[in-house]
Amino acid sequence: MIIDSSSMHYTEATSLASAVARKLRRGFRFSGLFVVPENERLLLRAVITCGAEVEIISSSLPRDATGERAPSYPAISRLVPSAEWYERALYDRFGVMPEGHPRLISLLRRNDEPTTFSSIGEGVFTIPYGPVRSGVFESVEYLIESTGEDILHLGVGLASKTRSIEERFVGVDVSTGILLAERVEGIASVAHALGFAQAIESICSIRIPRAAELLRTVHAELERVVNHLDVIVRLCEAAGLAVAHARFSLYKEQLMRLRIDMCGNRFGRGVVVPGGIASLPNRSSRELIDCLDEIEDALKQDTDLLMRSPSFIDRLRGSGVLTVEEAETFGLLGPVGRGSSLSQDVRVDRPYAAYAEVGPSSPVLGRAGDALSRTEVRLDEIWSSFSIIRRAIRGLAEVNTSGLDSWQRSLQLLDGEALGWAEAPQGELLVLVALEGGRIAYTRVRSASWHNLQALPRAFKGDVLTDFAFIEASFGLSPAGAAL
Amino acid sequence: MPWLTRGLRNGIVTTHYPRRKDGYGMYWRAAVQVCSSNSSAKSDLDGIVGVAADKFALERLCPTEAISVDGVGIFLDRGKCILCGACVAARPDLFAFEADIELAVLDRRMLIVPRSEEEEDDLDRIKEELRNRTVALRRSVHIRHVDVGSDGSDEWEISALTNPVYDIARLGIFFTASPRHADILLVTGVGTPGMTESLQVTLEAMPKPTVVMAVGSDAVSGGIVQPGRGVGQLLDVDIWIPGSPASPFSILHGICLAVGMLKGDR
Repeated sequence: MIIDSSSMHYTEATSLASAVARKLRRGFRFSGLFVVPENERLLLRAVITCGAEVEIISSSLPRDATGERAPSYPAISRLVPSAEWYERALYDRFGVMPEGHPRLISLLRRNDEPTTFSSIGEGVFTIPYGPVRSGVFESVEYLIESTGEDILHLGVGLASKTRSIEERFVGVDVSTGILLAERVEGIASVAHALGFAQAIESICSIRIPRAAELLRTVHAELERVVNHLDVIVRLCEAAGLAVAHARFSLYKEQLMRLRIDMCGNRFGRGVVVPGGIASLPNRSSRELIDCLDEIEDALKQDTDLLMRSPSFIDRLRGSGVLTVEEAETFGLLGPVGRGSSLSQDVRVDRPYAAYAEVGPSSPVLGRAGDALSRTEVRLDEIWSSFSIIRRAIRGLAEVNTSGLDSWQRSLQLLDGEALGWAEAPQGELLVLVALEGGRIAYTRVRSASWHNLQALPRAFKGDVLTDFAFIEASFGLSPAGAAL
Repeated sequence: MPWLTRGLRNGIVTTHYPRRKDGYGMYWRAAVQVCSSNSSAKSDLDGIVGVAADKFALERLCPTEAISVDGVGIFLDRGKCILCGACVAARPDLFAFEADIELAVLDRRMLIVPRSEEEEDDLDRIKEELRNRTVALRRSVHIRHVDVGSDGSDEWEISALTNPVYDIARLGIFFTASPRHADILLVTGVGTPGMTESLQVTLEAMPKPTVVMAVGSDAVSGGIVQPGRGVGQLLDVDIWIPGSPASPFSILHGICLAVGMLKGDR
């Protein structure tokens, strides 16, 4: 979506919070808050969405006359709880001061002072978990407050993981930009490349060839299946189901290798380029479909058994419950939101690539909002992804794919700013890109990992320490995409 | 109980590596090779680098400055390469992807291809030194992983080592939760300021001797995310594994290299 004066509402920084809150009362959800530079000033851009509708409310931040104090504005999170983390992060990164913020504690920078705890009482102690954790995990810091068994409160810190990757986009060309986009959240490279490429394509107002649309869909859905499988693998590991762990990680490996056969890379990197895709798959449609059918068959049988294994189900049912109300308040994304019956899926709401044609007709929803519900949503999405891939590959057979211009358009770079989106395996992804003179002026990324992570502490309601691994895995987050 | 029979269903899917060579097939883009051998590159070069602008054009093909051209030839630093393929697409006569999986090296300079012969001599000395250090570990190796700012994909590839295809437990290699039990430290990521201290503490907690491995181009050189960083600036690295991310086979190669499990090492 192109961002210009016609697609954006302007408001004074003093009334930004109330403008956003007003929209939220009308059924919109808060999707993101960005700070972007404009000449010598800073602009706030709040993104709110409702089904197919996306609105951007923008405010110019007043500058202190002396230039000594950081620009400030009345905090949105006074009225909108889901903005809390956004404003903390923007304060850390740009020094933008949200006045009246309920809890302005550093999130992306290490605190020198000890963190203040929410619960104090006799016998309450804090277990620091991370950044170096027990196992092969990305670095993230959790502070678990406990009386010995129950988790009373969870604190999250992302300081260890912050790579300042958004700053790297400034001034680079588009082809370098997409390489960076793929590395914002490495396990969702295709989705991030899609969000970025689609923003560039909107600025340059081109439509990509149909073969490219279909193949982008195939790669994005493969990525979804692999990511969802990774969550199942981690859950099996947490439950101590050695055979199930081996089986599901075997399927994951088989799909990673299928991606090698398609594009030479295990993460689908290098496939999506602004203007289309880099190349056609190395394997024929027939071979791909046969391979997928085989994996799907075997996967279905093991899934049936897994979902009948009491030692697995018992650990998930009732763990980490997020109610519908909480899901709505936080505007939760992806399988986490859908597991709490919040109907949202970018592939359905605002279809991109070939989703309008081959995509799901409605989001997969769960009811209970617990770890089991999120897992069931993921499993159903895996089956849905397999049929989307098959439909897209069949569609490809009917498309002319001779010659480079049938899968890639050359770009005439224009100046402008646009918002791209994609449904990453973790949920809705937003990428804001501005081009100036053929180079990137700035890029802002809002991953679902980031958005959903702020609801993770809410999921612990009477859960005990041994539930932690299950609840964390059921969120399926990547700290890299959250800390940026 | 039903899982027991389920586990036997597919027969053996495990690789024979390192006993026998294995890989990901012909489409796997493992690394970029400079096509011409050094001597012929030189004669090519007289034509190519005759004009300084051409040297420039070749070097600018790479977004991470992995390509360098001097009087001797064209060199590509795999430690900086993120396998984007820009050079292969622009100059297929000079650069090509290869599918080899044994990419780990013992010396940072060895990641620059084509390699010179003097480095090979140096290598024997480094190998000897490392072998003396790890001789006691061979049959039981415990690994601790620390992420210092990766993009998340490196962790997936390291975890993949426990799946039935790579199954490192068959080689007596295990991941351990505590650094107190660890022999090898796997480090991924560009080296964020927030992790510097935790990384040091982890290494100090490990019993000597230790082996440190930088896994992935981000860890080796900062990759494209933070060029010029990498874990080499934070501690002494013994094994360097390129790739964006490094593949499970390459990581396995690195571990085998560290403890002398490769053919010809014993």
